[in-house]
Amino acid sequence: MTTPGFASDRVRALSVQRAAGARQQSRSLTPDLATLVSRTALGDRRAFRFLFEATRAQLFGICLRLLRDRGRAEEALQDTFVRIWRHAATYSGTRAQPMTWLITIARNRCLEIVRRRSADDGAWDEERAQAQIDNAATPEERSIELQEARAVSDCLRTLEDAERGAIQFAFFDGLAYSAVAIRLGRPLGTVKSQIRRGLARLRACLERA
Amino acid sequence: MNRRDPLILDGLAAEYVVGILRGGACAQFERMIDVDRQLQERVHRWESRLAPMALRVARAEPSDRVWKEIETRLFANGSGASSNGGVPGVNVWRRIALGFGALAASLVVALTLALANFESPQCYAVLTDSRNLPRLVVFDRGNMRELVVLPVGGGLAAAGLAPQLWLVTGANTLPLGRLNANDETRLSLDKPLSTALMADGARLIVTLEDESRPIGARPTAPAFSEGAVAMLGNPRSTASKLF
Repeated sequence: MTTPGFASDRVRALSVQRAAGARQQSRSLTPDLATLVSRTALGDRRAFRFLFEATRAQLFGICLRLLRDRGRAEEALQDTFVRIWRHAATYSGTRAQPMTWLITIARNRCLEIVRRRSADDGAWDEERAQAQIDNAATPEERSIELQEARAVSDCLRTLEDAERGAIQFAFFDGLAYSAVAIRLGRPLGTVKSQIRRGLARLRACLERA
Repeated sequence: MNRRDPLILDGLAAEYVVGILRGGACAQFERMIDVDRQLQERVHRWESRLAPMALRVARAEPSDRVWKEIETRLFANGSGASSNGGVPGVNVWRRIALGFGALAASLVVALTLALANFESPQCYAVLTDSRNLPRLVVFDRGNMRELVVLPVGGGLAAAGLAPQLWLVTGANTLPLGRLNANDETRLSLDKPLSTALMADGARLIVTLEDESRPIGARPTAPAFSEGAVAMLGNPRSTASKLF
């Protein structure tokens, strides 16, 4: 006969085991992005679709933040995945994590669009922009990429507020020096110095990390 | 500004990746990237450093239209790879039969000349890319003592990357050697490799590896091109359909 205490301990233990099993199963079912990129390079359309499903929300969020327009962001996302299909064979696991590679393709496409715009014509909504930075915990499956993200965040924190703010405006919102200067209400020359100094310090910090 | 100063170049690379370099300065920097591999490397390093920051941007759901448009752009005219979602087969001969244009024709010429000029090869493989187009013809010479690798339909060059040939048999992947990106390559075969090459289901793959690193025991990049090894004179060979 089992005591109530023992039974409840056992239930708790089983529950923990089940939860661990579910997490394990969830991990094993989680698409491995490197494998999906590899299969995409071989022309596997199903893997390409999985890759799209696994990364579309992250990449679309990045495009939407940079382009500030759903239509443009969706077109940029299309272009991004067309490039991914065509250039998957050039991905090298020794050079970058798969998500880093995918983000770079998406950002480069969005920045091309941003650079082609003659003027910064997007309406600015500070509150919305802040809301689009996700400070919530991110799933553990992305731990390697998150370690890299944490390293950048840690190094960003070592910068002066003015340097960090200017770099983040430029990086997340695709703003030119003049636009960053206007947003921050600082002279253009000051903003240029702050960004350049901040990037040099960021590099030094990341190389030490 | 001294644009040969490494510190200045690194700063420009950082500004380019952040997205803040614009106008004429950006256009000039992009022209410099096109011709300067070290500068390309600087840009890649900054991309690797900064891209993880973008993981902090909140996710957002695109509309269903996006995937439909991607499919239309890539596959509507049948120019994509396999329709069943699997790895494309090495169905080069059917492509040739269907008259798939100059590239396939050049392959026939290359293969015919190759087989005519090199005495009695025993095996060959046609390695195709993600769009099922032939990229390399591989065959043996000297009674399986050497492999000859001929690029067809353009070179394999990519900045900082070197093409590497691998033999895949079952669960084993064996390095065969680095390839010249734009020219013929000859690779020696020892007895175990030539035996493995003749095994049922043997395949050759090419990956693009970091050229600054020594050849490793396993590929570190996905296959760029692949194809099954066929034995000439063997019933499983498809060569008889051509000759």
